[in-house]
Amino acid sequence: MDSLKDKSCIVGIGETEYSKNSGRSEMRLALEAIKAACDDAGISPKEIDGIVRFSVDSNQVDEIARNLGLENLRFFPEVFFGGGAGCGTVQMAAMAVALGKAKYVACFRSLNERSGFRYGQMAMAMPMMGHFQYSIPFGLMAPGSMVAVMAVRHMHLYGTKTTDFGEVAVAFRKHANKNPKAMMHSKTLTLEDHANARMIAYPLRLFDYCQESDGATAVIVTSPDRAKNLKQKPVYIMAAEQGTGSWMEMMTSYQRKDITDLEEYTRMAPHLWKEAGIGPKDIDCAQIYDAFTPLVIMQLESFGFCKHGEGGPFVRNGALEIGGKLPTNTSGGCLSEAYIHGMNQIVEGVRQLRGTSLVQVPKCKHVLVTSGSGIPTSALILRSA
Amino acid sequence: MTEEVARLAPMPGPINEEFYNGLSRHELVLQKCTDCNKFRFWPIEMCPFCNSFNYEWTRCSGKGTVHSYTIQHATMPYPWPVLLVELEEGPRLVSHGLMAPEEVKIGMHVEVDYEKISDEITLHAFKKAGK
Repeated sequence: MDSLKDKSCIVGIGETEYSKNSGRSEMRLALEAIKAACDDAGISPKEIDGIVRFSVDSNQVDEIARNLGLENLRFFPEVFFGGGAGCGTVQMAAMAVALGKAKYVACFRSLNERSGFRYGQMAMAMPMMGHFQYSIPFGLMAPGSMVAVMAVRHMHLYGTKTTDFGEVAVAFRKHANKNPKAMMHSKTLTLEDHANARMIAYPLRLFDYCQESDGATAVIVTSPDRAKNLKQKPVYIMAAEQGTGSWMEMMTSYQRKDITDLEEYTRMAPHLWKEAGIGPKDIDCAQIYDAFTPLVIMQLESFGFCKHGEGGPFVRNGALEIGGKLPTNTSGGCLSEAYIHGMNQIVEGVRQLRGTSLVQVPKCKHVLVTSGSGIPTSALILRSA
Repeated sequence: MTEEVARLAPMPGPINEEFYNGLSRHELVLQKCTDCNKFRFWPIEMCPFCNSFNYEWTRCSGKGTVHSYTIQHATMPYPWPVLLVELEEGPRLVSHGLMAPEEVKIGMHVEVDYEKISDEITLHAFKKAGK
């Protein structure tokens, strides 16, 4: 076997509600999402024999297995690097299924990120021991500020405008306005609102930042053969990759030759396209990890939707909206639906390929899903059955 | 300038205490590989260029240019320049910019200065060159 292509599929998706205060434990949220994903697939939770977790998740697999009553969990890796892990958990599951190491693998993320530990306030919470001691004490106070440094350079080199960041935020908000689960469902956003919002770290203003959310999301991965007997139309995993780049460090890979090149994607992309056997032009809908708006623009460049430096012009005139060049983050993304470390974007990708999204792309056959930027990361290409 | 902002202090360990000792003496010292002669930052065990374990803490000129920057507004009492400085020796440092936010420009020449943030810790900062 020299490829993972079409050797596994996503057959179940599950979500809790997304909110600022779930009022229950991260364990409870995780179990609700996994149970919902099993119900969606039409399997008993007892059939799960693999679980893949984010290393940053507070829930350990043994406790999840006890809750689910699993008696023979056979596969239980974890994927590191925060939001970079999402598609990587599905990659682990796909490999395990393809090699016969597990039959039904649950991948999940559960977090009370808003009511509990808020990543945007990490400066206040972390001892300055690791590499963040070389940035935070100098005033680079949060992940958004670290991305702002890359965004300023991108603007300088390529003429990218803050209104381009606004285009990204507005497109995803329009999608969220049609998705009752989205935290920003009832709040509209215009380019003027974006331009007039509170400055956080130049050039980034409030609406360049993702949500802070409580909630959980899970998917079930199994083989195409088993999928035939399940409830849903399977969504095939065409390609799954992890990626890094030179001088890789969490959020501040500033020793790179070009800090506007998200090498963790640029270097992964050729492998991803090769495995899938398709290219950017074949993608009908993208689910792009959007912790901060400039990262969407840079990722479009990394994956070859446009040339390096041309991401700003690419997103103009509603390109990321339904009917645009590349409908993206059709449930609202991290910016406007919820920040479940991008697992919610995998779920929305599956809905698009089932034809059940609330913001459905007509005849959607291929979806790209990406995970967190500026960190070791991962991505998927999914297709409809 | 009066230090009005409570600064988070790094916690030096074996790999980087020479870096902080240097700053306390008002010297910017970085690791320089004694095999391939390249500087690196931040402090790590091995030279990522030639994989040598041999290095010396070597004083830098303290001169560089602004490669990029941000102005931190949130959590600060006033807009606070944060620079990504590319040193003459190659490595880039995140540092506090000792100039008005509107003065910061990519490509501007800067030179090192020092800010004592606690009894134990002095950090580097950068001001406009030749000032």
